[in-house]
This record gives sequence, C-alpha cells and structure tokens, in this order.
Amino acid sequence: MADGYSTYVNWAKTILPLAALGLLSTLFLFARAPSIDEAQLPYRDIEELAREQQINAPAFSGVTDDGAIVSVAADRARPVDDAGQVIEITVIRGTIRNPGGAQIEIRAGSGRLDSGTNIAELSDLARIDTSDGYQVETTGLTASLDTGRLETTGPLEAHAPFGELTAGRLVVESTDGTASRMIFNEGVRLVYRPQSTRED
Amino acid sequence: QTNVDLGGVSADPDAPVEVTADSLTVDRESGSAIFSGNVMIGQGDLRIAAAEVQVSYDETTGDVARLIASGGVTLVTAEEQAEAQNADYDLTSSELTLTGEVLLTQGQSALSAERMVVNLDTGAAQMDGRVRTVFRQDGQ
Repeated sequence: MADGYSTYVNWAKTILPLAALGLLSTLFLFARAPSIDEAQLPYRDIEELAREQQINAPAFSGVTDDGAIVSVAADRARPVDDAGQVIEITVIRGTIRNPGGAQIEIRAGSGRLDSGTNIAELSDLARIDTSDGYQVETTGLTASLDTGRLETTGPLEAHAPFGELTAGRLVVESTDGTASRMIFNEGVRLVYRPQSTRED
Repeated sequence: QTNVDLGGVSADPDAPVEVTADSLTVDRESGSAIFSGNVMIGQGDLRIAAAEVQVSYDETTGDVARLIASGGVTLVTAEEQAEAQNADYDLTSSELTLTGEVLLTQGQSALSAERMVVNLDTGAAQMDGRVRTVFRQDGQ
C-alpha cells in the first residue's frame, strides 16, 4: 500500500499544480496584467516542492522556492492495481497561495494517475478559481507528466473580469516546465469587455 | 484622398467585442494570440469577417489594444459593406484601417482604393490610393 500511497503523493504534488497552470494559462489570453503572472507557479518549482513537502493523511502541503504554499487534499486515494501503479482519487481540492496574496483553488470530482505511463487524468468537472476573479472550468483533462502536454477532455469555459472565453477543446503544450503554447479548437468564442466598460 | 461618410457605422467603441473562430493559438514566448478559420469580430452592429485575426496587446496596461485581420477581410455595417485584404482595428482609438484592394459599396455606388481609414465613433472615413468610383451596370 505504501508504494501506492507514495504514487498518490507524487501525483498530487505534481499533476494538480500542472493542471492548474495549464488551465490558468488560458487567462494569458485576456491580458498580460501582472496579477496573472504572479499567480503562476512555474513547474520547475514543483520539483523543489517535492523535497520540502510534509505529508499527512491524504493531504499534503508544501512551500515552493518563491514562497507559494501548495496544499492538496482528497477524500479518498486508493491504488486500483496491486502494484499500486494506478491510483484513483476522489474529490480533489487544492489551493495555491502565492506570496503576493493571489490564491488559486483547484477542484475536481475525481482523478487517476498511472505512474507507469505518467499520464494523469482529472474528471467530473475540473475547476479553477483565483482570488482576483478568474475562473476556468472544463469537463476534465488529461496531462502527461513527461511531455507536459495537457488536453481537456471536452469544452472549456473561462471567466475573467474583462471577458469570457469558451472553446470546444484546449491543448496546452509546455516547454521546459512552463505552459508555452495553448491551442483552443473545435470552435472558440471570446467576449472581451474593453477597459472602460468593466464594472470593477 | 476622398472623404466618405459611413452612415451605417454606429459601432459603439465601448460595447463588448466578440470574436468567434474555428481555433485560437496563444504562444506565451512570442506573446501572440491568433484566431484562425472563419474569424468573425462583432461589436454593436459592426461585423468584420476575416481568415485570420491576431490580437495585439498594449504594453503598459496589458489590455487588448488591436485586432489585426488578414487573409481577405469583409466589413459589414448596417448600411455599407467593404472588402479588403487586411484590416487593423485599433480598439484604443476606435479607428479601423482597411488596406489592399479596398472596395466600399454603399447602395448603388461603390468606391475602390488602396486604403480606407474609418473613425468608428463618427463614421467618417477617408479613402486614398487610386480612389475610383466603380459604376455598377443596371440589373447587376
């Protein structure tokens, strides 16, 4: 079981921030306002996170180099194969609190990590909310820890103070650890409210 | 240089801008965001259709500053229609510049030119570069 458990922890501390980053990078489209970058947690930090984290029950928390506190909890995590290579997790909640104060919340109904293929899946509605008013929701997503490629399993909806974006599917490709390219396809709709009309 | 009044242009520069397309690719390194495939920009009753639209950002505020349409552009307002190769919609100054074989049709008359700059607040437009009136034969 221990082996299965450590796979879970491996997953939790890597894939959830990766999912958050992938989806959050959607908001890059709206504006380059510093608040978004500040909320970004570079993937590279996640490796440091691995070293410093303390583990308790199915939750864990850790602090990254730039002082972001990442905490992830789940209702249940259990290996589905006896080798403990595939882990299923239900009701995942994660928060990333950035030193600057911006907070990112991640929620998903269930998740599954296959440490053999290094593919992780979040399903039953993956959702991210940030403290400065951004929200990204999608049916679920599949992410490869090796390639850093993340793809939603269905439509995506993003809301921000200055607009909304919906797309049939999102693919996020990351190079050297940060989300570098996002391809929204199967139909894209952006509604952008110019600065002057925003009710802030 | 010919001044034209686009009566139909009543685009409200503060109205939300809607962009729909087949796909959108955002590249973080280059900072580019490009809509491609049946791209339609809508604001008020102004419609701009294009093959591709690039979003360009204001350096300081980080807001969307311009929409650069290319690959054949059609502008449709309540009363006019214009075609060109490219269009540059500057949201901050609400000025729309059409370039490349511009053809403006207003009712029966049509004007062609190399360039047309439209002030979306007032509807005033200037056409320059070999401006010619194009007569449409009856029954066409």
